[in-house]
Amino acid sequence: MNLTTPDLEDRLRSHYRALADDVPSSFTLDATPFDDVLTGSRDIHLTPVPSRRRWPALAVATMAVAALAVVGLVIAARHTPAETASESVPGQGGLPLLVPGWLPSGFELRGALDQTPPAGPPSRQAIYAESPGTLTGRMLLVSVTSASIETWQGAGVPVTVAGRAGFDLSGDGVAKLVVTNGEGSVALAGRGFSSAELATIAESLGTPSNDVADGPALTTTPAGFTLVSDEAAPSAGRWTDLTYEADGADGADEADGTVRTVAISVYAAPPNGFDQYVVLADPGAPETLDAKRAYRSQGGTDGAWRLAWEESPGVVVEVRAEGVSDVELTRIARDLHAVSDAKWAALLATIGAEPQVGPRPTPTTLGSVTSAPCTAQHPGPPPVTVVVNCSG
Amino acid sequence: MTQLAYLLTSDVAVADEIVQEAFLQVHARWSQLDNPVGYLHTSVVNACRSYHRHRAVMHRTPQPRPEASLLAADELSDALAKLPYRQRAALALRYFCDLPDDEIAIALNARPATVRSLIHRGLATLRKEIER
Repeated sequence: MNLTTPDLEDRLRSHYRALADDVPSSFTLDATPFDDVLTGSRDIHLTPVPSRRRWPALAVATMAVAALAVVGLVIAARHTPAETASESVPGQGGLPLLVPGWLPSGFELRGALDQTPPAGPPSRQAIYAESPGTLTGRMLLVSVTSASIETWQGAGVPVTVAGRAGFDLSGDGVAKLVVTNGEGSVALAGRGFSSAELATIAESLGTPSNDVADGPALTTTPAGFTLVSDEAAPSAGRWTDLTYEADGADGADEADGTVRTVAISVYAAPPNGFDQYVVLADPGAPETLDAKRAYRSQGGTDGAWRLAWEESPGVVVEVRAEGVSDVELTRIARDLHAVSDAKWAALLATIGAEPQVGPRPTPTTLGSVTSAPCTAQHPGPPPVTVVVNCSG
Repeated sequence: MTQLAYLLTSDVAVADEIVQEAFLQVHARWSQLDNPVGYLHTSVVNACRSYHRHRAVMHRTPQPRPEASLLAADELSDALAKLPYRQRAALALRYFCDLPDDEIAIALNARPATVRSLIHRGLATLRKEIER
């Protein structure tokens, strides 16, 4: 049989379409009104969006407490406060350049990212909470931006809410909905909300401005909720990632069964950035890490641990670790420390990268999305893409 | 997006979860993103690869595909399953998502020339397997 390339391409397209038909690509949004959320006229019986990957909260909390107790005893005896991440040395742009002081054996730096994305469209983020002091109850994030709804094309399930086109992105315990707002868009994310409740709130949005000075984001604050914060987003927040891998993770195409990873992300956010993280991430059990607000969880498809905390107002740190224990994760987190720009550059240089300056960052596995050159390729093994000082 | 993840994992539940994780990352930084859909492609492809690695860690011996019944038991499925992950991802992004080289390059953290090579090699291997 002689199979031509066009024939093979056609077979592939048909094959993929047939397979994909097994997976739902759309659904009908429950249009049941939830006006009570706005009026408070009667009790709401919420149907929480099921969280598929979280361990039972009690189990997570128990493990976290046990881990902290053990690690705390060990580390408290070995470290002075000056060695913890709380002694931040602000790097360029005010973001502490955090590097690990300890890692399990075998880990090597394999990837790094240091970028300041190009200034995005003007936007604001308002947060409403039922329990503003603890941020443990239902929370609502309203993000108003001049970015067109078209930027979300293909990203979620298309819906129409009160004549507004939008996308439903709900899942993982947090309902999320983005709808048109004039030429821009409004995104709603609600922890403890259903998609239908968000849709009801969207119906009463009006046309909120992306300028905080123009008035509240919501014309009617949901009953029982309090406005926690309403901030303009930074036009371009710096964002760093360091990825360490161990045990022969060589970047090859196929799984070799031995990869372990530790990824450390630090990013500049609005002053309410950690609150936003809490709303959006449903990040697990709350705890404190060296007196800082923190959340810990394990799960996801990779079984990775995540530990996130508010390093300082507007600075969010997240450590993800795959193939390490929660005790090791805690030690990694507590031993992070800030270094100077010179030491940071020296660290990146250890993986063979020459810092390059460009107007826009380029994509890496760590998450940049723009496309102009701003990288240094280390031939490896493994090959590593590094993005440095992209604000240029 | 869920369909893309399914094509790369052969597991509906995992695909759904991967996409939700990707959405989470987009939301957490959406004020800084000028191409959320491109970012989603990148996140989904990376997460699917991470999933395969994790499966290898958890199951040192080959496991049957949990959703094997959903896959057409034909020669093309078998041939695709033998391809390296990046080739499979490149083919799915091209022939299912209809993405151009530069957007596939973003999702795979590769250069467009590498994308063309991945697709070329993937097609060549598929043809060889099918014609065998």
